[in-house]
Amino acid sequence: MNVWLIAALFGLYVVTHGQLTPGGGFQGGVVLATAPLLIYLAGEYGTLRALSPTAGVDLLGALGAGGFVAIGVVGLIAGGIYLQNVVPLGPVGTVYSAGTIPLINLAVGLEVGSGFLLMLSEFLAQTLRIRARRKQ
Amino acid sequence: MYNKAVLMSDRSQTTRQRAWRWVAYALTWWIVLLGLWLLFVDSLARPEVLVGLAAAAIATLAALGIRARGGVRYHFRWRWLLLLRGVPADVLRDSWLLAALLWRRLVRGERPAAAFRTVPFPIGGDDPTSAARRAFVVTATSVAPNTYVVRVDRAQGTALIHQLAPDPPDQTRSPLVGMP
Repeated sequence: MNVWLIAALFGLYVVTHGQLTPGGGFQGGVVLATAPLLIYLAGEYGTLRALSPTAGVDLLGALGAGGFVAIGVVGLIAGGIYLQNVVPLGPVGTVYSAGTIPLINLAVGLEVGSGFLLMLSEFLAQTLRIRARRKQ
Repeated sequence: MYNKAVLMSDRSQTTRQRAWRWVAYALTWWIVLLGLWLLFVDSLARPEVLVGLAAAAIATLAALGIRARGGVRYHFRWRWLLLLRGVPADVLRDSWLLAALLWRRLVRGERPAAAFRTVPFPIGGDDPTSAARRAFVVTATSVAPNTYVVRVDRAQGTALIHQLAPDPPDQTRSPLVGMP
């Protein structure tokens, strides 16, 4: 059962619609991070670790942080203010109505999602390490 | 020579069939997830459909990645749902237990005597029913807030659980849902 896919899709929905409905990059990122956690619940810690290698998750986080900076710098160059909107605004209520905000949300979602995933993964690893130390 | 040609033809047919199965899998999930997306957004406006196509494609790519790593097949049994009948009561009991722990921690400064426990857990094989049973037990056990399953040890046939408020030592019932 690919329940985790539904969680991932909902996370993407929350990220991309932060300008229209409650949510945004941070909240959507947390939902995105819970999708691999569902895989852990359906399997075991080793599976989660194999599916979320630290280097890959770090790369996603870096892409998110770098994307945020890049969007800001583009605004600075084009408009003279960091994060200045440079994308034309669409009609109110549409998914592209908020200029660069959905792009910023996407960058934040990537960063937060990968950060939370790394944190959950490390938290479980730490739990196992403490357990191993107590057994010695 | 003839046998070699037949063998090669069989192999290429198998590869083709496998490729078609992958394509069918990806297309099915892409369509299903796009449908789900349209339910989320409650709109058929072109921008929403385009964003939905992209989001469904990202999720489908992730699904393909999991499948490529030998994603597990599950075969659930409906009768297992009966085992969940005790879970709501466990959630209420654990919530009360943890609220009391939190109160004692905040007011009296007592540290909770959290503990790890290794409990027997018949692992079963790699067949879809055993995989589904493991997933079911781990998920159902981790619903109540006091207990979560940290790992399953396949070699030992045990599960390592963590409890913030450990069960009394004389308790004979397994903390795992569905285990006697």
